[in-house]
Amino acid sequence: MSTFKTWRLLEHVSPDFRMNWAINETIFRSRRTNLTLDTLRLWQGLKSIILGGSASYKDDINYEVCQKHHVEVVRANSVIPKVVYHDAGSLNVTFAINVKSLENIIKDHKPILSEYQILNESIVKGLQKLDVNVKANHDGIYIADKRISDSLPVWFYDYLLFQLTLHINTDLSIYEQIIKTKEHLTSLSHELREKIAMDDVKEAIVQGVEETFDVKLEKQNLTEDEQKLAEKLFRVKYSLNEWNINGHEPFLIGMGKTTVEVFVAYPPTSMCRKLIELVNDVVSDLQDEVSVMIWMRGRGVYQHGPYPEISPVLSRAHKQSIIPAVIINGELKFSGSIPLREDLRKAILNAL
Amino acid sequence: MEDVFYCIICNKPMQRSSKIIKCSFCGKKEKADYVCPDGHYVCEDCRIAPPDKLVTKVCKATEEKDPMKIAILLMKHPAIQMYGPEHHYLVSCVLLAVLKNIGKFEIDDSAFEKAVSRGKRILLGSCGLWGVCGAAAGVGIAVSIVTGATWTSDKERSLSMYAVSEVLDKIASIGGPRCCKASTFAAIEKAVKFFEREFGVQFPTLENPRPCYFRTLNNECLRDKCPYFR
Repeated sequence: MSTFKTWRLLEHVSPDFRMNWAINETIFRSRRTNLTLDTLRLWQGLKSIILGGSASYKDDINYEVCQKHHVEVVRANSVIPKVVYHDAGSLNVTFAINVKSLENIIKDHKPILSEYQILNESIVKGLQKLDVNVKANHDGIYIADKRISDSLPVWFYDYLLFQLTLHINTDLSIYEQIIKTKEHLTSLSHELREKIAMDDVKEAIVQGVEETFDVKLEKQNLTEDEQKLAEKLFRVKYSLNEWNINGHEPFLIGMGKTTVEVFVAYPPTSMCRKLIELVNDVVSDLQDEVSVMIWMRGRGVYQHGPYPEISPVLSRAHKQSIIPAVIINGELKFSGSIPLREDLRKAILNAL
Repeated sequence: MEDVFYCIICNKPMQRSSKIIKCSFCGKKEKADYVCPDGHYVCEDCRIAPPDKLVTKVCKATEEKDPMKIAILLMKHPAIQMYGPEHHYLVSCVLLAVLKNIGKFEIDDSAFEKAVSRGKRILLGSCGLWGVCGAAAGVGIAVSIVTGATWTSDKERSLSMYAVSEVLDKIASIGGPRCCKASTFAAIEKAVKFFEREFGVQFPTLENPRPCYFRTLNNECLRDKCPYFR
């Protein structure tokens, strides 16, 4: 019997470059809700610029150059505001994992940096099987002191989405015209003066990850729930300029159910109790699509479990004592009084 | 929704009630819904009150002469977060309430609004950013209000600043990271001594805040480093 832990290997690629980033967020959401295993996704996409986190399309890139060279722009969640370029010659290596599973592997743990380091090392271990002399650091993968990777990490408590782009055969000449802050990036093929077969790289990385983390990677597809969520994320976020250009994202919890946050007093006043009753009644036939969370002032962030997901508007309602308040998908819809049943129903249905 | 609600004052499970009971915060009498075995009840207005309204309402209504008791009661209310600028005017209002009840100074209701308005101008994190903890400045506000000090005053202006500097000295000695509860305790202890010495105010009692009620609720508690931990 195998003693290996199993990770999922996902090679699903969408022809739509933006959908691929919706898929990355999807696998992270399904991992952090414990619906899937730790996941490694290997995928390639068309030439595009990825604005990581709060990177600005005005200040960080030459948007006109993107348009001239038909380089599409998409925004991806990231704790680092960074601009990443990729084309068909780049390999995207995405990890969606619970970092607690790395505890036994990491020695002399330095929070965050150790996780980045070990993930980069697993890729390096794979590349070294192709007789390539590369090195891992916490901030990237290097060949002869030149970086060949970019990463956009996202954290949710103990869960990490590590979105790394590996420049294997990437044509970085366009990138250099697009980006405003120059970085010393190179591609593996440029340094080795030869093209590298992408399939060989993928196979080597799979081996490197398996050996580093003592796991078995098993090819699987997106689950049905993940497909639905990816489509929803594409529709409400990744296909919209509101996100890609302005960086404003809708608030969705877990696997993307419409969320109704009700902020009330503790213990609830008579008005708060009536409101809770009304909300529960209005969504009684929408249980599969709507998640209702009752938040009581002063009961702390953990009143709904160890990994609370709280919209920024709920935090504001708490700070400003807006009680009671009904927040739908992160937007304050009703406050200070009980809304009419029809108005509440309409607001929830509009948010589905 | 939770099945059982716990009293925000004593943490005992509350029971359903329909009796007319006095609010433990503002003193208003109304038909209660949940009451704890010790008789604590929080009226509906106080339950939804924002911090500034709660502090002024309670301080105007209280007959208490122990500033520490009022401060601890207020800080148990969920409107007062573990850390936050509401502690700045809480200190001023609590001191003004007690000075009014002791009868040493003529203090009308507008004094509390004045204190809140001045206290709200003190930045969140001013302790680290300006070197002036808001709780200490809150003592200065209370001194200024009772003496009528302004920037043109002579002795009154000095008294305000001496009060702040004495409180700051004590808060600074605790170290950091900041704890708004410890700073409030220290500010009140020092303010009581200051008012006794400079104005001859006799405070009938001063509750000992040790061990700090908030020590188990505060993720960043200074524990043994804090003089109020045990």
